[in-house]
Amino acid sequence: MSPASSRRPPQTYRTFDVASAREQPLVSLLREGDLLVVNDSGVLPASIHARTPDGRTLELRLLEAPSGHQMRVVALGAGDYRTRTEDREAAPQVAVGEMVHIGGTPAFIETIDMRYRAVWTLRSSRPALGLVYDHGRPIQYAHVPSPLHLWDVDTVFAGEPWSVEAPSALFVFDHARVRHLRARGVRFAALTHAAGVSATGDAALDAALPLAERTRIPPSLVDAVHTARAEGGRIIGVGTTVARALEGTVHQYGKLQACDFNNTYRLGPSAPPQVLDGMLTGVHEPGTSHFELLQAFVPRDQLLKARALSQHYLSHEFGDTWFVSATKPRVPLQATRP
Amino acid sequence: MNVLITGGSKGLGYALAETLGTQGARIALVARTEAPLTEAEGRLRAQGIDATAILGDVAHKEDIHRIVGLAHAALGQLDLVIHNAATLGPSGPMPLLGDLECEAFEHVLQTNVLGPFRLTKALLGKLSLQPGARVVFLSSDAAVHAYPGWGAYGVSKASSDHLMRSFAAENPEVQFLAFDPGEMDTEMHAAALPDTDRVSLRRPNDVARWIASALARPIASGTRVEVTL
Repeated sequence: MSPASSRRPPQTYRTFDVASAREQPLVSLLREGDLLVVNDSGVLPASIHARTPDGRTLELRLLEAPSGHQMRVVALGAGDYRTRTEDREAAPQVAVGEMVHIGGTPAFIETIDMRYRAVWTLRSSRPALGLVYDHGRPIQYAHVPSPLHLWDVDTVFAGEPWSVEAPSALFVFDHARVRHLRARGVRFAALTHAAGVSATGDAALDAALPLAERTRIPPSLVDAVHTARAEGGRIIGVGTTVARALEGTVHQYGKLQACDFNNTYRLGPSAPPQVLDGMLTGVHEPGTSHFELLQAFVPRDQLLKARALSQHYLSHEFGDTWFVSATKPRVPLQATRP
Repeated sequence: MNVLITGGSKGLGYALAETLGTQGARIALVARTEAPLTEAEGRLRAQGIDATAILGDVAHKEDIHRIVGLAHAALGQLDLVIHNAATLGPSGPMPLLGDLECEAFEHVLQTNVLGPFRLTKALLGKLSLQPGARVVFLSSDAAVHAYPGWGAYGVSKASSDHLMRSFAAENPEVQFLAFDPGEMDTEMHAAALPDTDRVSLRRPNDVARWIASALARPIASGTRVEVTL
């Protein structure tokens, strides 16, 4: 009955230090005064089984946290997590005003996106978040053999359930590691960023990812960044969602400030990070936007060397970790908007 | 201040919701039975209190993320978590340990020990990032003294006290406390000792006010506090 843990224990995650081009324990990569910025959003049970009145089954994946009686989803056809998302059947053709059932609860299709026909807005007769918790489960991955429960994908800092997939760079942390790092004088501070879907099965929509994602920067984070900077500590982002949140904020407002907005910023090599001195991040392939982003911290040849030396590392959501810290001079924090 | 209270539809849980809510706190109330929960939410709202009802049973591992997710969605962040939900186990009369069904003991531990453990575990990291975050456990005299018939409950409350102390030892960023409220005029007390003269019992409202004022004073994390009225 109880869900088994499908996740690796954090101590088995390997950390590769790109600057020194070798594997190093996480705790030795960070020093007193460093600030680790984490995404404290919780993970939604964003995969919801539904059926049409004529009995066809489909999977609804939340695109963002539900609001009131409404949820925005991408619909996938029959099949489950054992099939790669790209190979799944297309969702049934539906029209606005038609109904699907989630458990015993009807939900009406209120809108269908003009460009991406599998993107729907649903209105349910019950508050949508409770419905999602009653009938949803985490988005599953074809490379993970047993079904994942929320206990497997929640991170140690999880708070408000905004994310539809886990900010997975945080999987490297358990409470023991956090405690160890705190004892060494490393500090933690949080922002909240709604990590979106990684795949939808719709090629055109996948090419448009990431969609706009909500970012909230609390005043405590702004203070923590300024304090760490003033005391000579480095600002290390845990995961690309943190990078998108911080850099998107600077892009939007011209500086790091407390805010809550719909973040459309795209990370890339052309815009060097204004806030971060480094990142803990998954292992990425050359050519991906994540890989290109890391060139903002270290030269490309160093990244390629790291990739070659960490060939045996696991990528994906439950993969290993790279520590990438800046070797270039830092851009001032209070940079004004171009 | 944002407060999550389990077992919030009746007794001390409801009294704490009303007391803290009247002082301006926003409340998320958790209970496992819908009708009294909805009624409690309505009574709090009628007093102008920002209250949200969350249906869930802390004894069920599967309910924990639902509780945590809905509470965070309603309140943003939680500043105070009160583990008030508890079960006495079989009553009328309360069986001696030798007569207690094994499954009945398991259920008492699921509700009174593992429930608060799981809920705290799911909230812990986030609470540790918020200066001043607190987690309160409800204790009992039965945690300290052994009485015939109170074995399962007493063991669960002694365990809950030590759970509180252990969390406190491991997490200096969060304040953990336990309060022993004494004998109160509640449904649980009536089930345990139906012949008691109710006038001799403490009223949940008085205990809730005492706890609310104690929470306003500095107390070392890991302390078990006896309510003195």
